[in-house]
Amino acid sequence: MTVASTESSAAGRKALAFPQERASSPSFGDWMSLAAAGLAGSVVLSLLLAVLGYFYGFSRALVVWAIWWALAGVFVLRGPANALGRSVAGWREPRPDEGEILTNAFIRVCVAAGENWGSFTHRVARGSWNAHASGRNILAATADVLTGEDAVEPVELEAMLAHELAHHRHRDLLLAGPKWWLLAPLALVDVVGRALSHVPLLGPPLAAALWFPFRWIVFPFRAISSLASRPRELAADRFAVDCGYALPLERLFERFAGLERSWQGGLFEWMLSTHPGAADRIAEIRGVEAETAGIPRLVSEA
Amino acid sequence: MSTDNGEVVVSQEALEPLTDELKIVLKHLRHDLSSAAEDGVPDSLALEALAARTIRAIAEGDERASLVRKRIESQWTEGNARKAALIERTATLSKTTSDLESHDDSTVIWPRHAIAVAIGCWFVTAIAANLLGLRGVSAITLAGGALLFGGAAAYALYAMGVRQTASRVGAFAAVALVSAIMALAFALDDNLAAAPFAFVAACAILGCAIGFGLAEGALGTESERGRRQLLQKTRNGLAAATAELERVLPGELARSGESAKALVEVEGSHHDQAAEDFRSTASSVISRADLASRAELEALRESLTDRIRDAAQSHLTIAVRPTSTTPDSHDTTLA
Repeated sequence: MTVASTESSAAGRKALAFPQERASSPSFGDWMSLAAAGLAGSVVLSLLLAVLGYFYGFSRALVVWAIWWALAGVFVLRGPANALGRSVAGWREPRPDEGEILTNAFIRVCVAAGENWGSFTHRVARGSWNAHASGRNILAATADVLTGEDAVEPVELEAMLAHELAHHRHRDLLLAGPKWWLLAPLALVDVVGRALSHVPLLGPPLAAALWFPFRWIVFPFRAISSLASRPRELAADRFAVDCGYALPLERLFERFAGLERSWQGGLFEWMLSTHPGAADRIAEIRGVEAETAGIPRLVSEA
Repeated sequence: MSTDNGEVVVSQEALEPLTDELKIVLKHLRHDLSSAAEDGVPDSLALEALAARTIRAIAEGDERASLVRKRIESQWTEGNARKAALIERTATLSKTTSDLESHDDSTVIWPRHAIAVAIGCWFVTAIAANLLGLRGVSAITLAGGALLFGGAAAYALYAMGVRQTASRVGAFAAVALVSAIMALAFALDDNLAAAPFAFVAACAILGCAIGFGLAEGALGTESERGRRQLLQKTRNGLAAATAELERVLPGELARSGESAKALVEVEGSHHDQAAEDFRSTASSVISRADLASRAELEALRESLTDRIRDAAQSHLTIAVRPTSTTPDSHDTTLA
């Protein structure tokens, strides 16, 4: 990693003091996926509400349904959203060495992005070779990204964190908590299905019968979420490029491209894919690089 | 794992491959020394050859060490370049922060708003009073009252810290106009027939003033919002740059310095070991030689051992100066 001055301007272009956000509020598609989550949750909840309405009156059932919707709004708030982000994903606190790696990388991202480095929480995520954003100020990376043979270069980790920071800056996660709440009844169905599947004889067919409609109820939400998510992923990439991480990002996606070939599927899989393909992302990065060529940045790759 | 005081607690992980390689070289060297002695070549020639082989082994070890050294030097150079850039950026951001703080538009915008809205109140209210048939002193009283109350309300809100957003500007305009309506009501106190007209006029005034306040406020606060966002980013960037200078870079530079020191130690110890191995094998060769040639061989051994030590010493090219861990220091040399 080498350093370029932000103060001089090359080719008559004004230097980027700090990158401008590429979005400032949830997208229309994000709102639509919230509606789809509410619809899917309502379908499942309607069974319980019908029972409640039968015994206690349908006006009360309607009130319960309205309260359920209203409570979704609570998860927009910072505290509940972070509590949800910390607990549901099951991520762990970083070890001291992992914490140091994450903090050091994030401080460098904050120098480029003008972000308050002390206001973010770091976690070590489950899974392999990825980074995530959650809640309102949680950033996570998987353990293998931080240490071990597959660990990325420090500047690549910075690029990953810049991308995840962009999700927070762009408010891509603002509706994640409410969506989780609205989909909670479906999670209950899943739990019941798992419990049923352990019952001898009738259990597995009953569980299958329960899961079959479950998949189709949740499908519109997943499809809309995926459609809404992909442009935001590209926007987050653009923000990371604005921070000066074009080349490390490209290198990361070249690695992802290698991984993609083994699982790339058909139309159905494409519809449910929340992220654009690595090739598309590399092309996007190069496009942004071309647009902003000549603008000196604090971080650049030799 | 630090340090400025010269004590080094070295993490050997980074140097492990190098150490392994040197161990292999030394193993081969011992083997060569033994086999040469056993091959029955003239003892003096064998010692010369073994010394040459030892020196070559030291040089080969150094070639591998130089790769590690280059990596350490590269980290060191990059760290120092980053440090220099951060110091420059910190200075620039400090200046930008003070510039942005000194151009706090809220001190300019809000009195301007207060005056603009108050004049707007006065102008529209005066027209309304004229339309309602009020003349002379009544109209002047009404307009003056609107101006007074509107301005006072605006300054009161400003003093209360109501700033920034368009909605608050709208609220302040609304309060100013409510004051105007009160003035209108006072003026119409003895003319109840005009009350409906006054009501319509008051509504119109209120609407105009709120619209005016919102538009002005939105325009004014847009630039103010941008300024404050940039100020916040600048402060954050400054804090992050300071944090990097104070806690990230010193650690990295210290680690580079420690690695360089450890490399010198590893090289030095292995060179000494190579020289000692040569010396002990040479001694065993001499012990097997006849008495007549021993003195000559011992002299040769001493001379060759000195040559090996000189060669080893000349390869220890890395000299490490204490690593700076303070952002203000410009001692950035790894010579």
